[in-house]
Amino acid sequence: MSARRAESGLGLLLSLIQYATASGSVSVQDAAAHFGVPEARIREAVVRVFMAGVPDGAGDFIRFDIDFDAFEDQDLISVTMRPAFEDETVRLSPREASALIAGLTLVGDYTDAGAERVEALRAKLRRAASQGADTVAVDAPGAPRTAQVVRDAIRHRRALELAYRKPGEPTASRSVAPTRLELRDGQVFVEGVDLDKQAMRTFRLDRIEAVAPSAAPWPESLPPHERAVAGTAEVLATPAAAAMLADYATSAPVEVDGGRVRLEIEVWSEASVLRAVAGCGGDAEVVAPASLRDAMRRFADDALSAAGPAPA
Amino acid sequence: MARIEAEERQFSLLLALVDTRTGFTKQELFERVAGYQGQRPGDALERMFERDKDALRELGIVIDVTAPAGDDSNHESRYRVLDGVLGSPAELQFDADERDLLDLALRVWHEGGLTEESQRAALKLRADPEFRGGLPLERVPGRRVDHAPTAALVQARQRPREAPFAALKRAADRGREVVFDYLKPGERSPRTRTVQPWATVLFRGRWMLVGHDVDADDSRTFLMQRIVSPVRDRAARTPFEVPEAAAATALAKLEEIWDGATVALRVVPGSDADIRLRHRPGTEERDGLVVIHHADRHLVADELAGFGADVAVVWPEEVGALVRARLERIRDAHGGAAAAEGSAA
Repeated sequence: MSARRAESGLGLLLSLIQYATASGSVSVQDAAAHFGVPEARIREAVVRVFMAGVPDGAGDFIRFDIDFDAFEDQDLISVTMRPAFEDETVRLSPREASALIAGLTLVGDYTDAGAERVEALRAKLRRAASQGADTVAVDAPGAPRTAQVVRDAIRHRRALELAYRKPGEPTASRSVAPTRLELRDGQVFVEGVDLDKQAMRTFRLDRIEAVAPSAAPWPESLPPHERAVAGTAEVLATPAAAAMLADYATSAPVEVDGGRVRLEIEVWSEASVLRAVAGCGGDAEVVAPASLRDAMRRFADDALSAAGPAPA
Repeated sequence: MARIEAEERQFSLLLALVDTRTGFTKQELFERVAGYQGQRPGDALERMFERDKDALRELGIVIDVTAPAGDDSNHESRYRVLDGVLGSPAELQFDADERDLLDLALRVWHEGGLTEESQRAALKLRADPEFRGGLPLERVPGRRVDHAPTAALVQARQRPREAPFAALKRAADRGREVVFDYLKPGERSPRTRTVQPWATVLFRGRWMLVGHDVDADDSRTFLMQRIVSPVRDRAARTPFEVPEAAAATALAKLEEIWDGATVALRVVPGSDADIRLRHRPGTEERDGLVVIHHADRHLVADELAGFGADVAVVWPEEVGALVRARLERIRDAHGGAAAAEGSAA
């Protein structure tokens, strides 16, 4: 929905005026690729701006003009007259600038750019925005050094030796050709080819204890991605707890009794699902399968034993 | 068809508002802007004008309205584009390294939250023919290995599942109050809140609304995930202004709370909890205990319950009791002690 909204309105018209002028002469095809919209949309916008009656008020406006023959015969946009926005452009709104600044804050540390460069760019964006209240802010996560080593390995196609620890297992050494660093909602994952298993795997960055260069060669081709899902579980939850589980849900929540909702969640690993449900603090209940329900109870029993009795 | 007409009309309105130094009255605009001309005066035309102003505001084009002194009717008010809305195109031109960073920053919001804002920003940046940021990677040139865009190596996504997000932003833009049911962490039933929305903040992976709680008559921070009703908006009883730097101030306050609130844990060495809690900002080891920071005792109790037997709270006892209560509820809900005693029948 929103993807189309931004491109369908006035914004495209304004940007196209600047773009076409700066390009001198540009084909409809190139303009469509540049803006990521269908060619028909570009032609429509050109007609709106350059050929239809732009304000025809009391005669104080001149029309935007293009080379009409070139547009009709060769699908070329070639601006001949631009009476408004000559040396002006609509600035970023405060929130548009905030979106860019917030995005930079979240990812800046994971790029090759130094902290000063990122900060300079943030300052430049602030200056490029029109005045307004500062209404969006995000905290900077700070990238561990491991992330930078992995990123460079991806760029230069070098395999790595990871000291990796899966929950409940001792540290194991894994030969990995990393292909991508993924930042998902504050968690960092390394995607890559497990060279011993010759299969794509995803590693959590915070479970990597050490990283070293590997002598293993870069694989010639990437194996396909497979995702092992053991099944689904049925959960009853309060709406707030359902929102916390939404990432794992395979069905939309359906309201049942007493304000609770029913939803299905993916079971990719029993331990992870138990943790996610327990993290709702008792506001979510596993209904089925029975084995998972039993496991959830044992999880709580074990945790209560570990916590010890309440002090008198 | 309606969309095309609106687009043309709004474009025409914008040019009129940009062209004027002194501003136009509404009547003058109705007479000279294509799309208003020939329309019958009345509520329909007024509503169309309001919608068009909203559409321009969405693009960041703020319309300044000045009324002659002593005149309360809006007949003589003059409309024009506020100074500072238009700038030099050079301000939005970036070198190759900057474009690479912006490309990556835009992609963070592909799936939600600030999607609309980042798409509108991308559209403005694309006025520069060199700017290709935010497009699907296969369409981005320069994919040679050593020149691959950083976005091909690092993929960032921030998904705000929080449905109220868009409604809150819209209300904040228009200076309207919002009303919603809020389930405060640690409470069992939601309460209706009326809030003047100021800012949205992402802190430790959670989106929050910062604003003035009208009933409490004080500023408050709300977790978007815990807004459990649709967000309704209405005209503010008393007009309000968003304080200067509201978002940054709220973020600084959250950092301060985080710094000051600690829980000491016994953690099973090498467990998932051990590794993950050590990566949490501010975590330190003290006397063999893992001391973590948090921003809310109920939220941290939820998180700790999620680590199960891997962690045990040593102090403060208040948090220990909150975690224990959660685990007991989980046990009982899953046929634990209560069912065994037959009380479920």
